[in-house]
Amino acid sequence: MKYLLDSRNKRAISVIVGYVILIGITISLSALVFSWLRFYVGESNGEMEDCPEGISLIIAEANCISNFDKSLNITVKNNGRYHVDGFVIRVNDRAGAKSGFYSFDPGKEILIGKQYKENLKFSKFGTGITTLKFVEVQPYLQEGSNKNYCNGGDSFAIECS
Amino acid sequence: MVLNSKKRGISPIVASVLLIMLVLILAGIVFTWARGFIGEQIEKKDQPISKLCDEIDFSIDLILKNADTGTYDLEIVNRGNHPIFNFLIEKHMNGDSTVEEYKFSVGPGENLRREINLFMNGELSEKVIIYPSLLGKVVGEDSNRPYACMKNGKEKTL
Repeated sequence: MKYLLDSRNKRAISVIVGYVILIGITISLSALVFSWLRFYVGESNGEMEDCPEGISLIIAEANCISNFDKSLNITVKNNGRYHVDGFVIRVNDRAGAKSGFYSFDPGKEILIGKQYKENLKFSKFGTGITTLKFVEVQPYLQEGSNKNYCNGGDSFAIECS
Repeated sequence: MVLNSKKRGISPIVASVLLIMLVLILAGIVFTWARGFIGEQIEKKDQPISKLCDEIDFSIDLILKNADTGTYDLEIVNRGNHPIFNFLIEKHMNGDSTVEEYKFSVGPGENLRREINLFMNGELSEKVIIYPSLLGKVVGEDSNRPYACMKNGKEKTL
């Protein structure tokens, strides 16, 4: 009993275990600090989410047919490196407009190098549109039921009355 | 009154534990104090919401309706993939400015037209800056909060 109580024989935990505990605490603390700080670091490059670079649609042709049923003849070509699942055509009826407002989605995909040609009545874009001054297209990729809108569209000033 | 030379101090383990506890308590105090300077964290899609601001893509147009009353039609098209929760409109006039919140939402790919008044102090504003806001989740709380993207505004001179 006297031997057991002898302080000279008492041992603390080994040096190795001490190091392991210290390193463990350090790693846990750094993980905590990292999870806290990760919200403040890193900036987005402003690119559209889930859209690869190299998507490109151009308006190859756009002109109007001004008869009783006014309509827009439009040809959209995929000259990019990816096929697009669809695109939106936006038009504006105001002079000097720099962007489209009324939109129509033909729901057509365009494969690489292919084109979409259609005659669209003005009423497809909304009621009360009697003239067109601006046309643009914006491609999108479909992911399930979601549309991921992409850069790489084209715009065109037009004179329809 | 003889001093016992065999008296021992605390063991190295207890000393280490005390030191570590002291460091942790101090770190906790500094953390709580510093949080006040940094503000709350708002996230969306598991990302800090400020990162998503750079992905917002929208266009605006202002069409004059009535110059006497300063009434304009604001046309907004959301060309991006994030729903815009509402807008802050900053009006500028003679070096002065005011900010008003307009509660209308525009989903991805959607457009919207709203009548707004751009008078400020009885005169038409010289210019306006329109900032979009996203709705995000406050980290650590069960609540949502709008976050104004103050670096992603669109400016229009009237």
